[in-house]
Amino acid sequence: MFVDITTRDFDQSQLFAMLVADKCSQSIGGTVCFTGLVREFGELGKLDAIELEYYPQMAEQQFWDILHQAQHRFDLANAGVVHRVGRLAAFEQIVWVGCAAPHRQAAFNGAMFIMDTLKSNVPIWKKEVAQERSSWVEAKSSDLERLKQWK
Amino acid sequence: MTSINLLFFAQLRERAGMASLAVELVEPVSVAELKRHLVSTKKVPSDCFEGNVLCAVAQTLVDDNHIVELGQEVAFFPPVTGG
Repeated sequence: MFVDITTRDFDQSQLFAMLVADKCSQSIGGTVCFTGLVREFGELGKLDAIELEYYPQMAEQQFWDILHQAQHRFDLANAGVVHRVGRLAAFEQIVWVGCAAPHRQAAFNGAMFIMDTLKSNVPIWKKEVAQERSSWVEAKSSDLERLKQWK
Repeated sequence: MTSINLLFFAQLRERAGMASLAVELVEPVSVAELKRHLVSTKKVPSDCFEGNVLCAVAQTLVDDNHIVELGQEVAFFPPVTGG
């Protein structure tokens, strides 16, 4: 499994290769890879960028905890997560989650679980920037509702 | 006396006007007591902890009753919005 919190852009094909290369002892029958992009519009209208702040030690620890939970819960052969921080423009890649499993259902569920959990548990914060203005993004109650589905 | 390291992130960093602060403690205190101490000694503004503020001690989320041991790292931040 792998975790990376980085200011640099990522290459999906390289991450996919890591996901299927580091496959432990289980056979892989399918993978699900999700990539999140920065939206062009936010609460401030058309955005120039978003800025992501994070709590380094805790964020990395939380990512590993979520991956271990997902692996145990869905019997994943492998899983990885990459999250960018710093200043990102609209349409840039912001997050990548990949799961490999013997069967597709586990891979889909694992990726959904990791995304739903990281959105409420990993200490990362987004700030929207538009012209001279900036505004912190508020946590959404819908994200907490999605997390409850996995309890 | 032992110092504990406080960290502030996102809106809490802006409200507190700083990213970190070292505070001297003579004995373990609860998170609620620590917040009251920071406000009453004017180390942070009076509205610093208003609204939904989360606290992590030693990188683990805790509630206001959690006891902070001497030397531990304490972080305050708003609900997270990554992903």
